[in-house]
Amino acid sequence: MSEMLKRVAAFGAENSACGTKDPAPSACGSACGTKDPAPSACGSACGASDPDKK
Amino acid sequence: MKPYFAFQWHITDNCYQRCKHCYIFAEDNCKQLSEMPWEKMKQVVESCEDMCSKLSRTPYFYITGGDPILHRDFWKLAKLLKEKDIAWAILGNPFHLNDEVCQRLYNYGCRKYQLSLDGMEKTHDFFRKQGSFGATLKAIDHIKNSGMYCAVMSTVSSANVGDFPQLIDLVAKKNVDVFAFGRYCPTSGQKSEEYHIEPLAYRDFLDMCYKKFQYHKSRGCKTTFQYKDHLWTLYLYEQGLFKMPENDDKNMIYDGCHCGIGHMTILPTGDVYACRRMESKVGNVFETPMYELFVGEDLEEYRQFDKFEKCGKCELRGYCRGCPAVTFGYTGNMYAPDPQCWKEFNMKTGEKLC
Ligand SMILES: C[S@@+](CC[C@H](N)C(=O)[O-])C[C@H]1O[C@@H](n2cnc3c(N)ncnc32)[C@H](O)[C@@H]1O
Ligand code: SF4
Ligand code: SF4
Repeated sequence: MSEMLKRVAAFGAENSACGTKDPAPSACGSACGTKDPAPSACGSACGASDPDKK
Repeated sequence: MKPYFAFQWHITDNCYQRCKHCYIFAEDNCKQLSEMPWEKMKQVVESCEDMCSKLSRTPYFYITGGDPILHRDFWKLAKLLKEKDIAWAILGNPFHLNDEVCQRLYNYGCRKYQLSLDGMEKTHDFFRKQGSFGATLKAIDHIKNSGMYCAVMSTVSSANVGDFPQLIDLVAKKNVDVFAFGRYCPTSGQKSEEYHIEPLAYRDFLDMCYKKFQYHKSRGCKTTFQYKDHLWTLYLYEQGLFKMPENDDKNMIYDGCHCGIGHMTILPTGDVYACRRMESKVGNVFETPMYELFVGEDLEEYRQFDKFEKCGKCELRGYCRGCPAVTFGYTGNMYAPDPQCWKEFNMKTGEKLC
């Protein structure tokens, strides 16, 4: 396995380079659970990508 | 469920538009339109499934083009994905959609149809073609009627930045399920100047968008406004809305650009790119299986996290890294400083970033 991939904590990405994620609940789901109720609640894996989902 | 891996799969170059900004047709790149033959498409699906099973991921296909629905075997592919119960969505055009077509897509398991809006009518039609804006608004209704998610994606540059306040109001009014934008990735030095937005102007733009998003949410708008551009992380960090976990490992990558990590692009020729938004060919799926390409040396060049010149000194490296494809478009080097990043200092150490 690649040296660099060993440093990746969260792999999950459902959106492609030019694509959007699905809306909640699965928007944040792939990497770190299903809901993202508050800013940064989605934590390390998804960081700020969807902070104010319902 | 195992985490997703996103395959952006351009099955055809065929398209009824020739958008001024499009990376496919820019700089005379696409002299001959390609379309992937059906037998090869089945090979691609198998190779991606094989890769995902070896990596413990779930495949998510973004079927695109051109206009993917123009591919002569598009519906065969839809059927195959349905039979295999694979998650998929479309990045496509509005022109061939009606209630019946959208219902058929939904029945084949297409969970989301993403359209583009690059401004209000005058700007959008200038970029795309006369009547494209009107067709897109109609298509939003057909998509929503079917039960598929309707996503609207926008490409922002100096040429349309002024349209966004109205555009955000429009997508909220149309009740689209998802709205997001990405920055224009220049395909020549001249275009990087022509379409440039200054870093602080870009921060102000994000601020305007954020406030608009909040306004619409406070009025019950159901649209998910996504923070796709990684510079949102910087904006939210400065606003105190994004906080890094206290005991994170500074060497690790937690989020931000997924190039070489969570998505790959396949072209109609079978060429595989690290990211479609920059010249980044790493091989061809008909010569090398997707798994080999993913773990291989060529893709490794696109995940050299220590090579980021400015991000390497920034406390947000593990969460942001800007958009390397935009940076590549300006400089030819994806590891150079992001041309719209306005951050000057590492807020933890005080070190100047560049
Ligand atoms: C190549 S298109 C394919 C799907 C469909 N034909 C459409 O226009 O939405 C996918 C997305 O890439 C965007 N795009 C094209 N060229 C780009 C560039 N040079 N920089 C950033 N985005 C670009 C388009 O605006 C569109 O949102
Ligand atoms: S409609 Fe999409 S694929 Fe066609 S030229 Fe425009 S951006 Fe490119
Ligand atoms: S320096 Fe890099 S990681 Fe830091 S905010 Fe700018 S683009 Fe993001």
